[in-house]
Order: sequence, then C-alpha cells, then structure tokens
Amino acid sequence: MPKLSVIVPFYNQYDFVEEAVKSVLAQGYPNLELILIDDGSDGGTLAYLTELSDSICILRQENAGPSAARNYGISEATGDVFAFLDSDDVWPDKKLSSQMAPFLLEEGHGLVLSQLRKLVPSEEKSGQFEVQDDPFYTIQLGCILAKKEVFQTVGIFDESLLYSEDQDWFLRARELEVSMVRIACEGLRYRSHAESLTGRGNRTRDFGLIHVLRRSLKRRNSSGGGAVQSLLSISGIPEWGKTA
Amino acid sequence: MNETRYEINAPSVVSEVIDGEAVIVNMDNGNYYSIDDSGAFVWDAICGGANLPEIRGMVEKSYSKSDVDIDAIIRELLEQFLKEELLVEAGDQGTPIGEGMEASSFDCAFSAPELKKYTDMEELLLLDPIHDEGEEAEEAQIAG
Repeated sequence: MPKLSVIVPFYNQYDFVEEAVKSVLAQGYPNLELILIDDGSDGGTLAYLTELSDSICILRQENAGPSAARNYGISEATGDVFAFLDSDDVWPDKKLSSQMAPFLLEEGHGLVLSQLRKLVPSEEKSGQFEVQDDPFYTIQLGCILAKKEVFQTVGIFDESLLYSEDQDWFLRARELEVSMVRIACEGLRYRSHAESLTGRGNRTRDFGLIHVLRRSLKRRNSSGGGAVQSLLSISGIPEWGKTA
Repeated sequence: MNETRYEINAPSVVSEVIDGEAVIVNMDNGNYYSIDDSGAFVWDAICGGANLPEIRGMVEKSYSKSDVDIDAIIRELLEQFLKEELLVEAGDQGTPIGEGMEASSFDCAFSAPELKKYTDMEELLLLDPIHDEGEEAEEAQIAG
C-alpha cells in the first residue's frame, strides 16, 4: 500500500478547513499523511485539527501564495503518491478507493486524473452548499494523484505565477509525456463561493494564462522536432477501465 | 478593399502581443493560437481599430518594400481570424486607429504569416471560470 501525502494549503478559510480535513480522513486510507500548510493566515491556530488524527501535520510559512505553500508541503512530504486539496474543497466518499486503483493494480502510471463536481451556494439554505450537475473532467490539482517521481521529473509549482500555476504544471507534465490515466469517478467537490457568470474579463488573470501558454509554446518550440504540435487533450488521456 | 473595422471577440477571446508574438485564447472553445511578426502586426492593428486599407498603409510604412501582395495576405489573415471567431465587426465603425501604431518600423519585408492553432487545452480552459471568486477576492489575498 503506497503512502499518500495529502497537501492542503490554507489561508484564512477557517469555515471550511475542518470539513476538508475530515473528508480526507473519512477515506479510511491506511497509509496517509495530511500536511496542512498555513500560508501566513492572520486568524487563529489550526492546532485543534491535530486532535482528529495522528496523521495530521501542520506547518506554517509567511504568506507566499498557494504555490509556495504546496511546494513547502512537497518538500516535507514522505509519501509515494501526492495529492492536493484546497482548504475550502472536500473529497467525496470513496475517492481514494477509486482513484488509487490504477496505481495499485497496474504498473507504470505516473498520474491519475479524476472528475470534479461543483459545490454551489444553496438557494434555499443560507450558508449551505449543494452539489451541482454531474462530475466532469478538468485540470484541477484536487483531481490529481501523482507519484513522487512525477514531481522529480516535472518539478514543483512555479511560485512566480500568481495565476494559472496549476495549468503551467500540468502543461509541463504533458510536454514531458508523463504517463497519465483518467478515471471516471468523482474525485473532488470544488466549492464555488461566488456566482461568477463567466469569470471573464479579469485582465490580470487572463494575462497570467496567456503567459503560461506562451511559455509552453516556447518550450515546445525550443525542444525541436519541427512544428509545435498540440499536446494531448484530456479526452486523449486513456481512461482507466477501458484500456486496462 | 474591405473598410469594415473589427474588434476582438471579447470577452470570449483574450490576447496579448509580447515581443512580436501574438498569443490569442478563445475561452469559449479552449483553442489558443500564436502568430509571429507580420501576423502579430496585423492582429495588433486590427484590434487597435484599423480597417484593411489603413493596415495596408501601416504595413507599407513599417516594412521594407517587397513584391508581396499585401492586400491578399491581410485579407487571408482576416478571414482566418473571423473563421476562428477571434474577431467580430466593430460596433462603432468610426473607431480610430490605435495611437502610436504607425510608429513601428521593421528592417524586413512583410510576409505571409502562419496562424498556429492549438487544441489541447479545451477542457482546461472551459473550466477556468470555476477558479473565479471575483476580482475583489483575488486582490484581497494571494493565497487560496
């Protein structure tokens, strides 16, 4: 049974962090460490969470952003497989029993991608959230389980990026042809706090994405081999159970 | 020559021209594009409010003289931008040319550029809105 390191960056999301932590513990995975990185929160301590399980470790850093927090977690992690969970999101029941299967049953996979389902504010119960629609594939770190070796190959998250650092990391992984498989199970419940109609028009964020895409094109171009090609899309990633 | 003015298909499409390369992203379908040199110049000019005759004039002033059919290159490029739904007709056909655009000067001839299209980010970009919690929240903290 490979050891799983779950890295949870935390910044002032006190209302949700206990639910996030409990959703990890509820998986019942026997060989797990949960590393909470307090990214310089200015509220109270999280020490009470360690009473939930001996597997919980809380580290603190000066506020440096989620990438730096995740990288700190990676540097301290002792697991064979790494997972990430934002402190306001939760894992659905049986996530790990489903998503760890490709690692347990077949050699060679470096990364397993599961599906995301949104949690949106309830229209009937104030302060409550409810699941929305069906789960779907996307690139969100909370949907990814990746072996430690993948981070040795791809590297850690780019702390210079304020936006799209997860997309940057995933692009790098695809450029390096990390072995990936996707599995049609719900692997993350993503809490959507505000009803943003499109999320468009945030110029700083859009520029961040463009910057990340441009860097990827430059890397692919400099690696030679003729014209730069599109990378594998999610639908091009083999689906576990259909290819095994 | 077509005197219609066009504008970027906002908010679906976002772009930046960096060091002579335009990177254009269509958030609606996840496709993204890159185009260099002459193509980036034309893209920038169109987005700056220039119509085709004006762009031709800008090209003639900015690039070395050559025998290429500037009109044909610009037309073909515009057709590609429209086909990919990166541009729409400008609502205000009187939009002026972007300031300073005619100041460019290149020590090379205008040439037919290639609009390179990439389709690998479809699912990723389609989901990008879920990252949003509003600009206010984004500015209030850098950690999430």
